[in-house]
Amino acid sequence: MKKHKSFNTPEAYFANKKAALKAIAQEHPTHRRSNVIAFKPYLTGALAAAAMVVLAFFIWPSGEGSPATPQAPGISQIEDEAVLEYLSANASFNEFNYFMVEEEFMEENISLEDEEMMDYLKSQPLDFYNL
Amino acid sequence: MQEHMADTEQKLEHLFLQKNWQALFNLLVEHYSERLYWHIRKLVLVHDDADDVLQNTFIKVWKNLHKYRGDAQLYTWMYRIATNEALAHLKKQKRLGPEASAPAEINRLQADVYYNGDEMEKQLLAAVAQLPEKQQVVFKLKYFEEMKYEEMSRVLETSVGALKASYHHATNKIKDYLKQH
Repeated sequence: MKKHKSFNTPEAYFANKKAALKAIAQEHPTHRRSNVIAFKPYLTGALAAAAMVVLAFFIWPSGEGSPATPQAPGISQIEDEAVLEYLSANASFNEFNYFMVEEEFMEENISLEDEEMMDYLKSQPLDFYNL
Repeated sequence: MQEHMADTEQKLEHLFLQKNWQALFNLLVEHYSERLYWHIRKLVLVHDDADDVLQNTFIKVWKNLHKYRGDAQLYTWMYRIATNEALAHLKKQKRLGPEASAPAEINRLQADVYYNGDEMEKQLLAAVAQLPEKQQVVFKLKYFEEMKYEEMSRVLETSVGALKASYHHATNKIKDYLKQH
């Protein structure tokens, strides 16, 4: 010790202690080494099996009989009503109005008389039709 | 001396790269156990405690040698383990209650047959013993080992500024203690 001369050790302490410390290696085998030795024969097989499972999971065809995994429905499976529900929930979607107008038009079966139609056409200037 | 150290460092590096853990560990014991003992002894004071802490330090070194990543010198890494073990020992002693208070620690030191300090030194050690553990460590490393702040920073993984502040607080508390006693 640089500023402490008053601390001592038993005689031959360091020689004995070094021998005791070196024995630690025998008394405490490292986990790392023992694990590798214990599992090494099975390691390759286990890795191959894990790889097969992962591959099978991706290769298996989707649809009925495939592993039960949650899947998003295809576009064709979505009902029209569900689409309208979704659109009505999103009020900012402007095309919703278009759908409703078309629906009402079909339901009310609006029809125009021929005369009325002719009157209307006559009232329109010719360049309206780009003829 | 410098050449000898460089030679040892080279041997250690070679054994580490070879993953020859047994030979590497034996070399570490051969070259560093004595230095580590004195480092620990300055922190825990009593020989029997230092002996226990040294044993625990080398058990940890052996168990973690293959995990050492080479980010610090092997000796610095071992120094760090030894310091942490000594700190844990001091904390454990404090948890034992009033029997492990600063005066009791000095009484234990006085009962240690491997200690023969004078009254002045005992007073100083009593003053140091009443400091919080971390301040004790900083003071002991600086005062008794004359360790530079930069090296201490690597061992304790604390900034140099924080270490200087700790040392400053420790010296003030020691002065106050010595004035009162």
